[in-house]
Parts: sequence; C-alpha cells; structure tokens
Amino acid sequence: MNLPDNFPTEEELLNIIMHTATTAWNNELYEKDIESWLKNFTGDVYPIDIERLLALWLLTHFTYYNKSEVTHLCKVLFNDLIHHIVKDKGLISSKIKETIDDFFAESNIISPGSTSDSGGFIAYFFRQENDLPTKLFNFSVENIGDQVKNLLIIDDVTLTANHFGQASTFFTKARKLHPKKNFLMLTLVANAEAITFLKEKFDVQVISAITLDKRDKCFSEDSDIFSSFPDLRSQTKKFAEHYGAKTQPLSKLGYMDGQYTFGFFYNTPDNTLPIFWGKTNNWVPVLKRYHKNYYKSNYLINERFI
Amino acid sequence: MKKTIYHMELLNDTSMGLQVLDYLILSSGSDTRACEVLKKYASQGIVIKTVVIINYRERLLDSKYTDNIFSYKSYSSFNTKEIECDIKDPSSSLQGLLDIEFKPESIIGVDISYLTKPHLFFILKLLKQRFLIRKLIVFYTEPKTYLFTKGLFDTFKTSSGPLSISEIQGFSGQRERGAKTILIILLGFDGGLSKEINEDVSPNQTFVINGFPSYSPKFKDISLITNEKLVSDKNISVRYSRANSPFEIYNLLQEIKSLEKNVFINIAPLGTKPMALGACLFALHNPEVRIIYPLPDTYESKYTDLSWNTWQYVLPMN
Amino acid sequence: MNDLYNYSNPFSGVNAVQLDIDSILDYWCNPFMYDLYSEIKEADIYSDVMNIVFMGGRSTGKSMFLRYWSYPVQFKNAKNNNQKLSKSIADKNGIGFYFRIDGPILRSFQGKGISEETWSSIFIHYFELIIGREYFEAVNCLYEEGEIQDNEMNEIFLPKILALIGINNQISLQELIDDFDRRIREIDLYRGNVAFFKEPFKPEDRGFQSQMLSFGIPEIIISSLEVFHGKNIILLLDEFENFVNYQQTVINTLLRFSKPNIKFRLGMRLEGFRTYQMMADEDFIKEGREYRKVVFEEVINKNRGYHQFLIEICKKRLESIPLLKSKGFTDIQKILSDKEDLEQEAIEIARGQPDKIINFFNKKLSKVEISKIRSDNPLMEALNCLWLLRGVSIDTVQKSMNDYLNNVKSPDALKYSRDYVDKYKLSLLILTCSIYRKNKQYYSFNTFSFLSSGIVGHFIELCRRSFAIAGWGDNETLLNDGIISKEHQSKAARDFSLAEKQQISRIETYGGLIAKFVDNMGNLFRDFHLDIKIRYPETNQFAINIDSISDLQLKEAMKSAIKWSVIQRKPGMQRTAPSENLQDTYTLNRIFSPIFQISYRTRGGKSIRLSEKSLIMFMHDDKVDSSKYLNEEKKGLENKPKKPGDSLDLFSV
Repeated sequence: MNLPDNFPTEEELLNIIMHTATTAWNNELYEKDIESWLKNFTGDVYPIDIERLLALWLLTHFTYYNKSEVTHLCKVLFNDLIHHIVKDKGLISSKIKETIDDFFAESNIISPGSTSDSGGFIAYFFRQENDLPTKLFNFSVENIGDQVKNLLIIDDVTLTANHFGQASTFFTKARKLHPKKNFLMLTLVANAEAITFLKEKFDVQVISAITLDKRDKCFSEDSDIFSSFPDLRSQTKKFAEHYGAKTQPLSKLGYMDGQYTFGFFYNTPDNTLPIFWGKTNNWVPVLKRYHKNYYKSNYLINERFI
Repeated sequence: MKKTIYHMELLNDTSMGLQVLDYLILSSGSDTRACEVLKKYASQGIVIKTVVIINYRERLLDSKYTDNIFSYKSYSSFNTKEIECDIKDPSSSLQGLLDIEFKPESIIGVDISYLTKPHLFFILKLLKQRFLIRKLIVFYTEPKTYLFTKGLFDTFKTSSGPLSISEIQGFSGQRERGAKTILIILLGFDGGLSKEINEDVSPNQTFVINGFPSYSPKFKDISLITNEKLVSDKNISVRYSRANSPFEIYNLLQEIKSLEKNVFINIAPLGTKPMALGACLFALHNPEVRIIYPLPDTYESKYTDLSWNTWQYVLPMN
Repeated sequence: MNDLYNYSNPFSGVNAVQLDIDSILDYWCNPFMYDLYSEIKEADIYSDVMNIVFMGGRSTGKSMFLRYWSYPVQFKNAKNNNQKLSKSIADKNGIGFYFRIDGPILRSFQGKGISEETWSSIFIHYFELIIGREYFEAVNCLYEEGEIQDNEMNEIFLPKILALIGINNQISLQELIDDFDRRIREIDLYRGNVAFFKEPFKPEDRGFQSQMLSFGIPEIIISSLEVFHGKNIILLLDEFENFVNYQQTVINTLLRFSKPNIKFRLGMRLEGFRTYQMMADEDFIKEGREYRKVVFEEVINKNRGYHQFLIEICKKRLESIPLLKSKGFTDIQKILSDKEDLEQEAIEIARGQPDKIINFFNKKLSKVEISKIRSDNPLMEALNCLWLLRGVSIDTVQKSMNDYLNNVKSPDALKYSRDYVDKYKLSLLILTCSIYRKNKQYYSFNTFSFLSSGIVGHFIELCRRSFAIAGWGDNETLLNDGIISKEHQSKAARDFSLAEKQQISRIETYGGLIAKFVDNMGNLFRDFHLDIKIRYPETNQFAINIDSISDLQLKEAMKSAIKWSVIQRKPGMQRTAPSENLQDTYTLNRIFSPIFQISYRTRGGKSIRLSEKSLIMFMHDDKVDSSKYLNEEKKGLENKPKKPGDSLDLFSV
C-alpha cells in the first residue's frame, strides 16, 4: 500500500495532536502515551511506518470532550429542553415562565441505568450546571408517582437503534410501568437513527446536545475523516478492523459497528473504535475506557493490610 | 428583560418551514451552498417575489456565463435584481439596496451562506435602520466539509495576502471614558487572525468563544488548535456557544455584558456565520458595541466543499 | 491528569499594551540599567529638547517602554513608595501622557464617500479632543490628591482653559471632562453612521484646529499650576505606523512646531513613517532636525547588556509560576543551557555512519591516508577534508590537527585553530548536517538570543514554544531537572521560524513580494552554506542601497520589509569588497535561520551584492538560480588580486 505523496508526515501529525492535547484535551495525552500506543501496530497489515501514520491520522481526528465541555453540554441540553417546552405554543412573553414552572412541577429526572452508570454521573453535572432542585431527581423508574406527567431520562450517549441497546431495555420496562407519561430522553450525544427508533418504538422524544450523522462514522462514504484522502478509507478500515479484532474480536469497529471516534474525560464509549481504548490481549490503549462490571467482583486484590 | 422564544429550524426536503417571501437577498458564489435555499424554494414551488443577488465584482472577474457563480440564473421562475458591488466595501451596495424601497412590513429573507461578514452586518443594519424592518427570515447552509491542505487542520485559510483590521462599517461602537475594553473573539479556523486582532485592539480583557457544539464534533478542536497561541494565554478564558445558533451566542454576549458596568465591548466574529449573525443582532440592539473584522486583501476562492444542513432563523430586529 | 503539568506556561500572554498599571510595574526591567541604548539616557525621556522616535518591530518592548513613563504608571509608582505625585513630576522634570489609537479607529477615518480633506478636519478635531481630555484627567488627578490648590484651579487655570475652548459659563474640571466625552462620542457616532447616511459632520460645538488644545492646554498648565512650573510635557504616542498618510502629516506638523516644553516621544515600527510631509505640502520633517531616532532592534549588534536584560525579563516570568519558583528553576540560561555544543551535535549526527564525510568529499584515499585524517570529531574530519580539497598535503593536515590537539605551539597548530575555532566550526556543522541529511539544531540561550534579533518578544515566543513542547513531550525532565532538551528547543525554533515566514504574506500591500524575496534570499544563503569548499562561511547578509532604487514598488517593498522586521539593517555602511561603493548591509531576520538551515550569526565579510535588476528577480521569480551568484563570487575571487586581510585569504591556507 502506498500513501499519497502529500500525506502528512509523522512529525506533522504529532504536532497537531500535541496542540490538540494541550489546548483542547487538558493535557490528557502525552507524547510517551502515544509512543506506547503506536507499538501496538506491528506491521501485520501494512509496513509499520504506514500503520503508524494511519493510526496517527485516526488519532488526529479523535474528539475528546473535557470536563468543561461536558458541563457545557449539560447546559446546552437544559436550554434545549426549555426551548422544547415553550416552542410552538404561541406563548406571550409573560406566560413563558409559568409554562416552564408548570412543566417541571410535574416532572422527574432519572437515568436509565443504575446509580453508578454514566447517566447518573451526567445527571449530577446536569443538576449542578443548571442549579436544579434535588427533588426533581428520582432514583428509579419504579418509584415514579402518578403526579409525574413528564419523565426526563438523562444519559450521555444514545447511539443504538435496536432492541439490544440499554435505552431500549429501559424503555421497554418504563413504558410498561408508565404507558401514558410523556417521555423525554435528554442525551449529550445521539445519532439520527437512535432518535427515530426511540420515537417510533417508544414514543420517546429525544433531545440531544450533539446529533451525529453519516459524516461522523469513521468509514462511511460521507466520512469527514477521509474527505482529504477518500482513497484511503477502505484501506484504513481494513487496518482498523484487523487491530480492533485483536482487542475486541466481537466488535472490531466498536459496539454495533459504531465506528465512532469520540470519548469523554470520564470514559470512552464502546461504540468508538476499539483500537483507541482496548485493553485486552495486551493491547495498550491511548484513551481509557472503563467497562461495566455486571458480575460480582473480587473486592480485594493483593492488599496486605485490611 | 424581554424574553423571546427563538425560532430555528432545520430545513430538509420534506420540511414545511419555508414561507412566501417578498424578497430574498443572497450572494452569488461558485459553491453549491450559494443557491441551496433558492433550490429548496424552487423545488417546493414556494413564491419569492424578488430575489436580490449581491454580486461581488471581484468574484465575477474572469467568470464565464456558464460558471457556477451564475447558477442562480437557472431559477428563472423568480424575478431577480442584481446589485454589483465591491467585496471590500459594503457601502458600495448601498444605492442598489436603497433603490429597492423595502417596506417595514415586507417579508424579507436573507441567505447569509455566501455573503461576506462585513456585508452581512451592513445589510442587516441597513434593513433595520433605514427601512425599519422588524423581522427577518435568515437562512444558512452549512458546508459539508472544510478544505485543509494535506488534511492538516492548521493549514486552513479563508484569505490570502495582507489583512486590514477594521471596524465593520456601521459598527464603530461608543467607548465611554474609563471603560474597560473587552474583546470577545468568536473563534474560527483561520489561525493567526485572532492573535492579530488581539494585538491590534489590545483590550483589558479578552474572551474567546469556541463554537461548541460544532457542526461536526471535531470542529470544536480545530478552532482551538489553530488559535493555539491565543488560547494558551493564561489570562484568557474559553467559553462555548453552539456554532449553528445565533440565539445562543446572543445570550452569551448578553451575559458577558452584564458582568461589569462600564465596559466597551469589541466583538470579532471570526467563527461561523450563525454566530456572526447572533453577534450582529446583539450589536444592533446594543449600538455601543464595536465589531472588528480582519478585512483581507483577497478571499480564497474555495475553502469549503458541498452543502449540508440548511437552517432557517427568524430574527427579531428590535 | 498528570499533576506535574499542572502549571501554566510562564511565557504565555503579557501584551504590554494590555497590562494594567500594577503589572507594568511588576514586569518592568529598566533597559538603561543594562546600557542597551547608547544614543539615549534615562533623563532624556523627559528632558531632551528634541522629539524622539523609538523604532522597532513588534514585540521589541516599545509599548512597555512608553507606558512606563506615562503619568498613571509614575503616579502609581510614587504612591507605592509613599511619595507625593508632584514629587514624581519634580524628580523627572516632567510628566508623560501615553496615547495609543488603535488601528481600526484610525482606519475608520477614511473612505465611505467622504473626501480626505474632510476626514482630515474631523480627525484633527478628534485628536485634539483625545489629547485635551487626557491633560484634564492628569490635572484632575493631582487636584483630587490635594496637590493643586483650589484657587490655582478655579481662579487661574480653569478660566484660561474655558476661554481657550470657548465655553462661556463657569464649569468645573470634571464637567469639562464630561463635555469632552460628549464631543468625542459625537465623532464616534458619525463614524458609525456615515456609511448609511452620507452626510457632512456637523458638531454641536466648534471644531478644534491642530495645536489648539495639544499645545494650548499644556502652555496654560505650565504657566498656571505651580507643580508644573518649568516642567516638560511629554506626549508618548504609540504605534505611529498605524496612522494613515494624512494622519501622519498632521502629527509631522506637530513635530515641526512643537514647543520648548512640549515634546513628542513616538513609538513606531522601523520605516513606520508613511510620509515625512507636513500639512503644508511643500515642507517635510527630517531626522536630526525635527526628531532623533532610537532603534530598539539594534541591541543585538551592540553589547552584552541584551543578554542580561533577557535573563532578567525571563526571571520575572519564571518566578511568577509558584511551581517553578519553588524548585528554583528561574534561570533561563540553565533551563536552555548557555551555549550550543557543536561537537556533540556532530558526534550524534554521525553516529554509526563514520565514512559519510570522507565519501562526500569524494577523496580517493588509501586506508593509511584515511587513518591520518580520521578523527572522532566529525567536524575536524570535515575540516581535514576541506584542507585536502584546498590542496594542503595529507601530512600537513595530520600534523596541524595533532599539534592543535596536543597543544603544541606551532604555526600549523595556530592555523588549524584559527580555521577550526574561529572561522569554520559552525559552517562545518551545517555542512555535516547536510551530508547526513539531518537538520541543524537550534538551541541554547545564546542561540535563542541571536535568533530573536533584538526583538524581546521573539525570544519570549521561542521560550513559550519550548516550554509548551517540553511540557508535552518530556515534562518530567522539565519539572524534575529544570531542563528543556535541545530537541524540544530546536523544534520550537523551527516551528516559530516557519510560522513567522508564513506570516510574511500577510504584510500589507507588499507581502507577496517580500515573501518571495525571503524565500529566494534564504535559499541562496543556504546554497552558500552548502558550498563544499566553504568559500564564504556563514554568508547571510546582502548589500543594497534602497534609496537609490528607481522602481517605486521595489523600494517600498524593501522599506516595508524593514518596517516589519523581516530584514534588518546592520549599523553603518560597508563595502562588500575593497573596490566597491559604500552600501547598506542587511540580514534576514535571524528567526528565519532554522527554516533555511543557515547560520544565525553575522560574521561580517561576504555580502551578496544586489542590484535593482537582481532585486526584481528576487521579488518576482519563484526560484532564483543561485549558481549564478556562486559562480560570480567564484569568478570574482579568481580575478581579484589577493591582499592581506581580504576575504580572499580563505585560499591562502
């Protein structure tokens, strides 16, 4: 495989990553972290120097949301929610506040998973950033009272447009319990397919701070990542699949073939390419991901003193 | 404070958001975005009584009749009025616009996708101040992608040649004695511009606003990377505002203004057009605000490619 | 997150114009303590009867310098030292007023269908108001501190001022200041609306003509208020290069007609004068008559005080970061290392490939012969090859080298030492880098000082980038040992060099021509540096008489290049060869050295002679054929007679 003559050099790509890490990523990544990660690519698919360039190319297109960006997204989400409540109602200025107050008086906010899931984490920032009263928040869908007409479900990522996703599992249960309530899904990131799926299947209105589209799937035909070098798309996909399979054999391009290239300061979603976050089979990640542990764990490791 | 429910709608092929217009003002251009709104109106058969085309002489130079820049002519169902003017001097369009005699109750649309920012500001102020227009329908089509040499983000340029950091005509603002000078830079991809402006204005305090959420996730990093020198200044704080919403930036500017009493606000709208639109509306409502812009010698002929989402905004001019 | 990096870059931020008064005092390093300027003493700032123009590129420290002498800073300094404000006026023998009108405002006074003559009147009125208001504020400040008596103010000063301005009713000084605010607002409103309503400017009150307030008010201040008796009024006008032509003629006229106690101190870029004309067309101002010049960028050519100055500036910045201060990492010389180690650099480059240098010189030598000129030091090996190329015998080469290494006091050793240490070491390294296809590294305090070309801001930027790169690439060495590696420094230098070169095209009007000139000249210097015979070591200067260029565009482009510090004039005219006329010699700003991989020093000696014809080529052609120049120089060397001390001595080895 040959790269185009005008493909950037390793130095140029590292330069971009350095500036990204220092200006946008709160110095979460250092040169030595990248060097360790690049050692994963051992020339299985293409010559090592080309694989390094492809890996760096993908890394330059990774989007990392730092803490202040995540909290801003919580603010954006809340503002979008407010707008959703009042728009298209023909309200006069003096009625706006009343309408919003009435809405929240009959609302509860919950997260779709357990308290320790990322939804709960985001709910905390959501409450803080928007100075919301704690009584607005509930801990379980089974605890929602009859007086609640609006159920606001908050999560960070909603990308699965089928019954295998966590959202689907949750809403199946929630709809059974509350068939008549107004469901609003508040999510930091969603894609158009998931939004449509939830609307059609569960009558859930999704409000998303960021809506991903075809450009954001790494290897789609409309991918923005390969707009400068469209011929490299399929070759890079082969590279990502091969190494993705080493660490995540069942989802070599991310959960449900996500092909995404983004992550948060607190975790990287598994819809993102595993070459970035994989840890199994001696893979060295460049960005961290904390998997959910669904089974009982060893609570003790090797401590001497307890 | 007065509260208004903003209207912002994503227009797709099936949306019903388009309304009949008395006028649609837009600029010709060789990019598909220049005529995207016209195309939508034509395909849905919705009436525009007169299409006002702003033709920049510099863009028309060496253009043949068959070039894309004249693609607006293919929409022959609309009446058109063409106004030729200089890209560097917005007031050169003044007489052409005055001749139109807009009425305060006219339903006017402005497609800002291909207007230069100085012209955008000028036209909006003219419509408000001279024609007393109370409401505008504004359209904007996002580019599908931006063009980077070798795909490297720090190579992006919207212009070449020397820059003249100037007040946008009509937006000189008013500085009160003893007022603290604040510069608010809406970050764009063209690095170096923000630094030049910051040094030229030399404010007491600089705010930097990054368009986030951005049109596409990575864009929020690109504006930080290309403005690295300014952003890494420990005295400067970065804030965020949605890149495709003029209303969010308006609210943020309002919030910054309320932080201190005696301030002279300067805004440099280097970021997206919707953000510039919000800054323009803010400046129209707050005439003491100054708008600074780096006027280039030459605009690059192409720095974006293809069209993506088209947005419609309803702008209250008062 | 790695906590070790939890500190901010000590070299980010700090634009002098933006600094508040306390920060100016905190960051101030008195350049006079380092004897940086031979043309001026500290006392001259307030007392010199001549107007002074401070010239230098961006980031040379002009704004900081001018602001320091202004009354708000001096008054604050007095307060910090528990002194009366009037004492600072008495000590300095005067009071300074700092003005900076930003470029966008200045540029708004033109166009929009209004004639230049009309704009000129409006601008003069505006300028006079701005200055007048500033005078009143200073007087008001002293009055509020009780350092001007009521009777002085109300019975002597104010009546004269009100009469001058044409206000009939009795108003206080504060009310007068408010009135001036209103008049200035009037002009701002006009500037904002004139594009939409093309109407003439009709102020509510009278307009002010030039000098009326700018000179009229200080005359009253000096005569009426005791604190100002016999003192000087200094107008510190910054960024004069931003004034458009007609605005400069207004100020030029003020320079000509400035009063004995009212003087200007202008800050501007080199070649910042767009015109020397005055408002009366037929007259011009002249250096030495209306003003004298102090150049901020020449310090690098002058004395070692510049190094100390930089160390002191950096120390203040490093100490402002608690983490660095606590670890004692506040000496920039130690962080960057004092000087380059050229031998070590060469050894690292040549590691593993010892034969490349000899192969490059294409010498068909036997193993025995090679062993005679071989050295662990690649630079000496390269010098040995160079001597062989010049016809010196192998045995002589070997003896000279060995004598030198063994400290034998022989003529051969002396010659070897002169060539190796004094003449060719850096050139040999650059050639060696080229042979091994590696970049020359640019690092160390000494190198950065040279690269900064007398522009303090450039030095700061080199440090900023070095810290940023080191922080990302190896912050443990930075924060544990207080050292930035030469690789990181060199990357910072290359990146900044490239960034500055890319900015050239942004220069107004002539950016394109200057960019081509720099490319061609830099590449020509590079070719001289790669000359296998190193006939002209470290050639990086050119000679031209700009004033004698007949093509106006070329002339203005060269002046613009000087104004923007892209090229820098060496002090004093020189001859490029004994028989040649005196010409000005210029260098490219040394910040471009890393991108062209050339020497940052200026040795004197060879300059590329540029005629007007060749200048056209350098400014228009995409690539100038350097062989023409190399061959010309070679021919010239062959034809000219050899004299002692002539550059032709190169061949007398």
